[in-house]
Amino acid sequence: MKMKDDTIAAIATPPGTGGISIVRVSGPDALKIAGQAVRLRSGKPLASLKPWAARLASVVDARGAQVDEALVVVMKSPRSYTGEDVVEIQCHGGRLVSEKVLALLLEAGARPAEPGEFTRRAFLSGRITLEEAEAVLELVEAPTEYSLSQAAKRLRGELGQRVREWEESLYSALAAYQAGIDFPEDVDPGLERATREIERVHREIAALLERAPLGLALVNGIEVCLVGPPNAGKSSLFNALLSAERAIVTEVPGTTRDVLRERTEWNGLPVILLDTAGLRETSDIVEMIGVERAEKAASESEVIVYVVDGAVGLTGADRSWIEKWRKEGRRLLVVVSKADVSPRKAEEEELRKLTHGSFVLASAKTGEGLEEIKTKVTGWFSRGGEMDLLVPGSARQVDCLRRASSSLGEALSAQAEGWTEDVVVICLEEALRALSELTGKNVSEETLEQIFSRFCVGK
Amino acid sequence: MTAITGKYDILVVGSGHAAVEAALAGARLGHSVAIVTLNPENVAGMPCNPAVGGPGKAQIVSEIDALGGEMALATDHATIELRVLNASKGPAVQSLRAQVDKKAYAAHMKRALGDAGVTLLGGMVVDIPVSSGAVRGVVLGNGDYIAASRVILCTGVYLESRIIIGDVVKESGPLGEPAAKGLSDALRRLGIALGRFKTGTSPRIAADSVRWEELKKESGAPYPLAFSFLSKPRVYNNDVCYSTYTNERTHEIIRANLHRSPLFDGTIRGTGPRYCPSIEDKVYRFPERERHQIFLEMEARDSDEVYILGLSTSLPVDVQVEVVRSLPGLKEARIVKPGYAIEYDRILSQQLKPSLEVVGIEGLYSAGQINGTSGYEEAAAQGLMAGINAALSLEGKPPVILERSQAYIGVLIDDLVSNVIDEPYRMLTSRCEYRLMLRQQNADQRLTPLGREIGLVSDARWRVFEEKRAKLEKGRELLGKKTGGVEVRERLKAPDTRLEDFLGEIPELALLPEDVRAEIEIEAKYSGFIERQEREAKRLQRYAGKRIPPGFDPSEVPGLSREARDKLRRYAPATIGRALEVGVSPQDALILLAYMKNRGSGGAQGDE
Ligand SMILES: Nc1nc2c(ncn2[C@@H]2O[C@H](COP(=O)(O)OP(=O)(O)OP(=O)(O)O)[C@@H](O)[C@H]2O)c(=O)[nH]1
Ligand SMILES: [Mg+2]
Repeated sequence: MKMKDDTIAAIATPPGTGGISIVRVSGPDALKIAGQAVRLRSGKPLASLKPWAARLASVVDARGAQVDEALVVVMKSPRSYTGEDVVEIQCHGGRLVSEKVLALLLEAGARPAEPGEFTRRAFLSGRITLEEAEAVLELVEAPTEYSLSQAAKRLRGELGQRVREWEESLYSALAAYQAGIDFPEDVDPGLERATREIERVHREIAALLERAPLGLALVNGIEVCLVGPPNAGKSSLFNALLSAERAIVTEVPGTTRDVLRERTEWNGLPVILLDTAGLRETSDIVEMIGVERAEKAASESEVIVYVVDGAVGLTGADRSWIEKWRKEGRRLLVVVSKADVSPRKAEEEELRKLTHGSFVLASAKTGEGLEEIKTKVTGWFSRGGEMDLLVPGSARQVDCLRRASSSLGEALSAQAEGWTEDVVVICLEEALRALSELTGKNVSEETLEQIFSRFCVGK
Repeated sequence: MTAITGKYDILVVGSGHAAVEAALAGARLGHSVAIVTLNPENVAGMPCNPAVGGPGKAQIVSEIDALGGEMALATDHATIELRVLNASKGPAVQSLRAQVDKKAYAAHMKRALGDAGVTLLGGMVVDIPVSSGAVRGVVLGNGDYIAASRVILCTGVYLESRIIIGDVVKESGPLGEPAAKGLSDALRRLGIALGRFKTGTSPRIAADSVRWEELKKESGAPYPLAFSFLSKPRVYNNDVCYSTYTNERTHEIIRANLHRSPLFDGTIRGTGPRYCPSIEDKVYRFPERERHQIFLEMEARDSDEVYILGLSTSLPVDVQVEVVRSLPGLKEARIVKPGYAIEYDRILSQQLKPSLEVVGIEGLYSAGQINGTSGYEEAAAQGLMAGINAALSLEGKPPVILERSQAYIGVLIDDLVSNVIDEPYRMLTSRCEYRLMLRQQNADQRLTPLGREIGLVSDARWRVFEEKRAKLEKGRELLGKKTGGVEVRERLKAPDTRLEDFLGEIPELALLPEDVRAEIEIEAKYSGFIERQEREAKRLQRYAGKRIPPGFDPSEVPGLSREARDKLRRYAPATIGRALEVGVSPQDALILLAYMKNRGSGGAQGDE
């Protein structure tokens, strides 16, 4: 049963805001529940911590295995954000790890907090003012009338103008269909013209989305592909970069065969990391397919991380792969692995030339260079023009456009496949509802407005 | 005070479509009900076109039927021609439309009122006594005082109505009935804000003055159909509808006389509906159109009057004669009743709760055109809901409020109470965001269980419902069978595959009745789209759609501002979204949300 005073937990930082994410537990049992998942370095119980002091701790699962290293802060009622006992766990392992931490807390008896529930508790306990509560809620609550009108105000400039123009074309197309439906005896709605309009808008939105790579990356995740010779340490890096034992690692060259994909988050950006088979000529049929897949994955991803085996050094094959992708203008980062055992300082000069400085010495074992890899990769996506799209709300804008585009695609294929008009209309309305999240219009009212101004209907 | 001359549980003012359903619902739920109306002879009349249904409206009629209302049964009783509109445009928008014998329709309703024990009283209501915030009854023009703790206003277009034909303006109701005078002032005294609307109708002509052979005959569907889930489907096809077009001459006459139209000379100030424009409006606004379609509908099978659909007008009578005679087949037509515009008072519907009770006056309900709607169907639906809710409140039960994702009636009432209605409101499929879920043909499956719970669904109707439900379940199961290694359900998702294609392979399907087969076919074929609508409905309910429980008392909530308390009490918003719209501040809404969350799930119902 959900009581006023049960204990809630949630990830308190919005996705895509930074490397550290905070998992927050609030309620009378906050210390007890968090105590089951958090072990202080000092070995003392959580309750002994001085309020507001940050301490290093490990987060462990039910079997005692470490999930993450974290900073832990304890706040005692009433001197906390919510006015209740609160434990904040600042995870370093990114979104995925913080989700695991949250899962542990829920297992230990916390209830997932509803959107805005911390803020509501904070407000109810008198900890924050109304204005503050409002401002926070605006960030966490999904579309409400209020946020829609705010969104509409934010939608300015060229994009705003284009969205409004698309919207107008789509409304007139929708009105053509709907006039024929609601006034079946009255009108010849001119559906062919409507279809042409839908096609045009669909094309234009798709074109815009294509030109917004970061926007899309924010929604879909940036694909980062690890490639390189066998045994170079790709899978080890893969695991280290994910902070998880995901791929099999052995000393046998040719261990990885299929392409592995994992979601993670680097510096607040969603990343899809790919591990691949080592690149080499081989007669093993399974491995051969693996190598083909590796090449394909690399050619389709947005970032290639080429791993040079630090224990072997730069080979002729390495040089030609690196040259090839550089010439193709790909985003390429060269990583020299196993820096802990064989620091290859001697080759740094050649590497600098070959890669135009875009290389990192790293070790999966010690963690050296891992942060540098993340920073270099995400740096490509937060520099210069692409930075513009990082303004708050842009991910949502891209998402709205993407939904609109996919609904329009469905409207067109429904029509081409011979579905009835009601289905076409529903897809069109969905597209307009997606756009309305940007412009704040009421779909039903706008459609009627169009029907009555454009068609002579009614008896 | 005047002597009490009668006492009822529920008093219904008016005798149109809203009134009839309200009275029947109240009486069938076991309460004593009286109707007070200007002319007790005039029950469930059709002063506009003699037809029931059409896109959006047909769905409403079926929903009324599923809940245990009377409209569909009366329609089936009185139908003279029945057709399917939008047959090729998909199940979401397919709708029946019946042309009815208006005398037979009214007779059916009168009989039903008698059977249910509703008392019919003649009189003009001039006052509504209210004390301690609750309604006490009505006072009639002759001084009689009839006591009732629930009063449902269904006065249609009669409130202070005036009829306008050219430069002739007359205080009158439709078709020569008297206007209702005095009640508007009484409502204003109660603090209820009124607005003024306008609507209009077409001239009627003598049937024997029409040259039918010059017109195109419109036919009904050649296969059996029915509105009510209880009626046996029949073919109704009686040569009662004909069509033709206006022509250049018609338009010339209208243009030459526009200056004599009360619409254009400023006589009419009320707002008219966009979807029901007068012919002069159409000619004026769409000058490029060379012709407008006109339908001639008989008002009964052997009617001597014919309704001209599409020729609504308030031009002077001499112009009307010219216009009518410019049409093919009508060169010698005699106008029996001229077309007219009518202006009337209506209640601003934002003052209503979703139960249709007037905010701030316990026991006073309003339904139908008085709330700013147009159409018999829209009126009947509101009457039914007001009748149900008045009855439930007498029993101390919470009102029934239909969701937008549950019924067109839910959309109708939600639109009325949430939005500013600035023209007579007519239901259209485009108003309903979940129309693929809310099909006319599944209204029974959606609403009959609710009707049963309310107490309006008879045993006979319940039996029919349960039988169909069992067959639907059987049918859905059969769709799980495989042909060619693929479930039929999956194969039906191709737009050109029909259920009939599988009758050979799965003979049990052929044993199911046709309506059941049609339903399961639609469910399977459109499942992807239907599920999407269901998801969307759920998503919206999570946010602005979050309901404030009916009967909620704002004084229980600590920390709410006084302003918010006043607004919550005054407007009784049904949802958080609506509370924001009536001006409750986001801060107060937040407090409300937190309060509801804590209380709503806090085990008040003991639902551990
Ligand atoms: N000392 C040291 N050894 C490493 C490091 N990274 C990988 N190794 C070792 O190198 C060997 C190969 O590592 P993997 O990660 O399997 O290499 P891979 O590139 O995925 O190999 P294939 O899948 O066979 O192509 C293993 O024995 C690892 O233990 C490192 O940073 N330091
Ligand atoms: Mg590997």
